[in-house]
Amino acid sequence: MLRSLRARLTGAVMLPLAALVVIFGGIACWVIFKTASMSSDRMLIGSVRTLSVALDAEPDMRSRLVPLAVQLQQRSQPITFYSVHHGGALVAGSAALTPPPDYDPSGRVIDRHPPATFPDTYRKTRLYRGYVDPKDADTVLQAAYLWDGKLAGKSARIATEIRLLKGDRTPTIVQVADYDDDRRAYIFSQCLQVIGGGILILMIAVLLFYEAITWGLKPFSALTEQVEKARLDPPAHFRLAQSPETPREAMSFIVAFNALMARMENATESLRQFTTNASHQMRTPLAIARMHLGLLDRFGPDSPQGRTALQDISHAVQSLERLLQQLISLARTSEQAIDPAMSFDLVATATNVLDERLGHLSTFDIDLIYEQDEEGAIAVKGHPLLAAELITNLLDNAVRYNRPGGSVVIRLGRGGGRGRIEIEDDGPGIPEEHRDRVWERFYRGAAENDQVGSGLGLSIVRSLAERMGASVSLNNGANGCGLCARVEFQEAA
Amino acid sequence: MRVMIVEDDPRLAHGMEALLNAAGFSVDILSSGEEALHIAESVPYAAIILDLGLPDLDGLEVLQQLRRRSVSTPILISTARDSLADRVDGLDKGADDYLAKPFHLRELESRVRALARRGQGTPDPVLKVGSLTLDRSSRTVCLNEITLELRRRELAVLETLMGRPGKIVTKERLAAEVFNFNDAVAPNALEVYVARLRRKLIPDGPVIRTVRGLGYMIEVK
Repeated sequence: MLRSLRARLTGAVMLPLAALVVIFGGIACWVIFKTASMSSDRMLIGSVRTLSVALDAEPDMRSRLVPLAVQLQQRSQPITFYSVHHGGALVAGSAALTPPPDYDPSGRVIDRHPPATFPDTYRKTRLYRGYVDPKDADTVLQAAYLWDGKLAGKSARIATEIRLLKGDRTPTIVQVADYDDDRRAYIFSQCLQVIGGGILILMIAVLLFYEAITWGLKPFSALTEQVEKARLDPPAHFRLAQSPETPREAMSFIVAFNALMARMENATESLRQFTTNASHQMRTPLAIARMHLGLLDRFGPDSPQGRTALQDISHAVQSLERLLQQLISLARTSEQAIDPAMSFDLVATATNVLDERLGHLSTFDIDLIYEQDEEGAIAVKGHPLLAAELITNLLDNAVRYNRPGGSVVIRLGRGGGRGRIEIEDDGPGIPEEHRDRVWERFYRGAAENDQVGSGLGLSIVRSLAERMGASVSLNNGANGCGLCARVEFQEAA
Repeated sequence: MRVMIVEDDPRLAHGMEALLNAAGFSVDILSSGEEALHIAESVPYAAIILDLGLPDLDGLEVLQQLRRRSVSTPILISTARDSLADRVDGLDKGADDYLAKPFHLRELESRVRALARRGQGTPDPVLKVGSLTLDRSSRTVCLNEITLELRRRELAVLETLMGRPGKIVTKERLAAEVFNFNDAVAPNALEVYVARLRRKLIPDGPVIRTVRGLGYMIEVK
């Protein structure tokens, strides 16, 4: 999704932070709404009481106080509307501000509506129906309360108080009102400031965080730079270098990367070694073939040089053929489709190989002897194709590197949870000090030059055996001469 | 001229031998490094062809040993290893030339001839004494621009003598350069070849003089 790590991290941190800002902004707006509503309610109630107390004064005082109260009210912001009705008739103020619909001019019900109250402040003042002085509340029929009504068709907040003035039979109703839209506009502008502030803070935070991550990721971009430089101009052994600033989090990556590089170098090196050896091995027969073809060309096929040349060319071609075969079977040892742990009969596989190779091997002057400890199949773990390849290689070696008139014994047996095959010759053998090296690819013994060999046979045997979980060992022959190759397979359950 | 081939593959060695024989060289084949070290010191080879993949010693080791024993014979390395590092290493350890397997016959011939000339300090392929010329590349001898028919051995003897005009070449040296270890040589073989040569150089060719008890010398007039 997000390809940039910096964007991901910024997103991961900033989205919850944005949610917090939204929640906080909501709370702030709610508080603003409550505070603003309450303070304008207080102002309305305060105004209505001031006017109401002024009306409650003695008639001579009243004529002076009421205009003063009205004037004071009109000078403060927001500008409110007021009305005073005596019974149903408007006495003063704006006619639009009519008494509430449930107003009953003849009614004497006290406090039909619950009087307006406000949350206590830390200073507790005892109030008598909204007044500090209880005498002010004496003539109050309905203590000041707030309701939502209409003023000239627009919704408004209205504070109402009703008094039965001294010596009067008809109640006087005092009202102060303010349009709701004024109040809303005020709250809206406040909330807008809060939200704007939140967004600004969020943006600054994103910017700071993004820069901080860029700074924090610098060691990684330094690593990337190293790799990029190595890609453009590949050094022989590339390793990521550490510096004192390299963070601990990058260390495991560097270690893993370098280990991977080392493994790849090893693999490349062994492949290089292999191709070098293989091409080296091909060049000698090729050189012989080319040399003798040149001689044939120069001296003709009937000359003594020409006659040996023909033989030598055919020998060189045989060498190449065998090398090619061996390379193919070496490739087969690592074929993935083969299950190297299935159960098969070692006896059947060995006799099949003998049947198959008998024609080819009879051109050598060698006695082949087959021995089996006890009758019956020997079921072992491995794969018949791989095992056949292995036995073929050992058998060919035993025959090929034997002395003329020698013999090769193929011996099968079982014991100790293992099935084994031994192929023993009575040829020159391999000196013990060289036995470790014969497993190497392309290693060839000193006495082998006359034979068509590739130097791959035993290394193929070993890798086949390893693949099947079998073990191979080379020992002296039974009579002290020759070589006995023993392969032990795990017996199948 | 005599060349030593140190090569462990007998088929390749015999091919090279057939080739170089036809080119007028007498050839010894050795298949082990130890042997080569022994023999190279005592025989005046014109060149040594050295394979690096020997069964007993590494070819480069043989090369170093030869140079350490101050054998100054030109050495041509012939090997299947042909990476730059191998070639440089071989040349830096004292080889004179490098030929990667598989190689072409004519290239091998020419390189051996060139090495032999360089080793003798006679870079011109044509040797000249008076009116007698010997082209070592085409194996032809001319006297007053008339081609002389010479046998292989006669040519070899003449080549050796003309390589050092006016200087005595001992019989042993001459024999060592003309015959290889496998040649069945009659005791008076050299005298026979020299006598035949003298006859063919009459009347106006240079004279081959016998210095009694020492050897032979071709005269420069």
